[in-house]
Amino acid sequence: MSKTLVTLHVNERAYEVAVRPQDTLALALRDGCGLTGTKVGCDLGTCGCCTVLVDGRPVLGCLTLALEVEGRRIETIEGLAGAERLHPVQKAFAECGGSQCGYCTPGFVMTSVALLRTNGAPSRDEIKEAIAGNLCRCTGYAKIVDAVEQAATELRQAGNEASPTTDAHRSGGSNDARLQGRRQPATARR
Amino acid sequence: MMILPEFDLLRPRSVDEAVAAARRTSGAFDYLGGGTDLLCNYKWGINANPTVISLRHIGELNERQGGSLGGGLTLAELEADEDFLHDFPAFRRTLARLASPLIRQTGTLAGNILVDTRCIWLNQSAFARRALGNCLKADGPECRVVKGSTDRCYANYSGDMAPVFMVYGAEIRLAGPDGERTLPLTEFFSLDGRTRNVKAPEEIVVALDLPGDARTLRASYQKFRVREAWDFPELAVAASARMDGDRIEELSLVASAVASIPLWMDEIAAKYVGRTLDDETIDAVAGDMFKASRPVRATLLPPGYRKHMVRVMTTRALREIRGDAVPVPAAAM
Repeated sequence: MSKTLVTLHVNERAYEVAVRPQDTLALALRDGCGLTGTKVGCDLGTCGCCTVLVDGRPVLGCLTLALEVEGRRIETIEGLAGAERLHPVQKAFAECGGSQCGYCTPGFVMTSVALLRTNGAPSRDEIKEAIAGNLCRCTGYAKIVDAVEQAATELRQAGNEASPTTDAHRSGGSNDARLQGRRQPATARR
Repeated sequence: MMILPEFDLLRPRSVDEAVAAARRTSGAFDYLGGGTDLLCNYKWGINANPTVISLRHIGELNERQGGSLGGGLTLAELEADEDFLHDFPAFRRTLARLASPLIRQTGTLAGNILVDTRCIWLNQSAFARRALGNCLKADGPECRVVKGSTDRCYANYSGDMAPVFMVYGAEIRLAGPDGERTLPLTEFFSLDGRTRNVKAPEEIVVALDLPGDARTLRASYQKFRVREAWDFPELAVAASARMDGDRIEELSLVASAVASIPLWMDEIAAKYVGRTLDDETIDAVAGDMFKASRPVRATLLPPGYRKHMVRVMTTRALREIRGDAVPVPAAAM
């Protein structure tokens, strides 16, 4: 099948990408846009590794055709961090140990960002429900839930919305969470 | 990485345009809703077609007016519609336990009604299917679950929405080459794991229509699955009743995921109209549902266990309708 030149609006930037009808969004982002932060795990919608936001809603990049999202606003993990500072959700994942091998982390972070935009103070059960479509084989989930809780608190305190266009986190500060001090292990706080 | 096969992607803007496009393909096409079922099957190499017609850009499929729900509405949109959930509360838990939140973001109502049947012999890679011996539904001569069956596939129905719509008395509206037609959802399904329903290939599910008096029904959907985070049903029971005090004025029952279609148990339901909804009646209905369900080995759990659980889930559904507290599965993880 011939390729079609489409414009994908990713992280507030337009990418011209040649895609075939059967190319998924995950494939187009990784191979076409060079945005390899979006991972592909099961490629069948089960693991959630490939989660990106389309018009603010979390979708599975592996089961979305690239041609179907032409002209839509797409956000990937690369669009969250500012030049010098992590997004609060990324920072919380790093500080809480919500990421170990890291392969599933972009998906979890994007799902969490979407959750916190609609629910600024989710309960632990609401967090668990929201991330039920994302699988992690390392952490056992407790630290991920801790991270989302911490990010929610930080965002509330900062009076921010977890939006890449409005976040105050985009300017200033260190971009290395390791320098910012880790929190106590999750088990000690629960 | 799972590779999708090559196909042409058509993106019509109206139902008429989509039906016309389908007719031009001589039947070698699939409609694409959310894609969460179809594209998985394509990646597994199961019955892929050279043309895919996306229905995502057809505005008329995304409308909701009262109890009329467009087939293109996503499950997440329904889940967020508090008016809908207030009027038809059984859908609240149904939706919350349907697939994962991510899949519900793109999966559509019509897609869940039409979700392809599943089977442990079918939902495998092409390599595994070939090694096992292909089954009737995908290039093989006979069903692998019920050996010797060459004219009927026994793959399992795995949708969650249809049983609930059935007990609420919904109708399904289809649009095709000959115009629109409406039929009761209870008459929509057809007992074969390949064809699954009476929809002509070119027809599109335009909407599900819930009758006005369905709002006064008490309904329950009890789903049994292996993983509580998200999974297909190993079996499910939907029930609804109109009560006059503690007397059953109207009763509807569906046993789902125990056959290739959701089973409309009208004869069993009719036996109990006029009876008091007490423990004795509940046990009797559950016993009848148990006897009438004949699951086969198409899913992970043994058929005998699933048959037993039909009794359990029927009991829970009727108790919930009666107003009892019933066990609620643990949180997502």
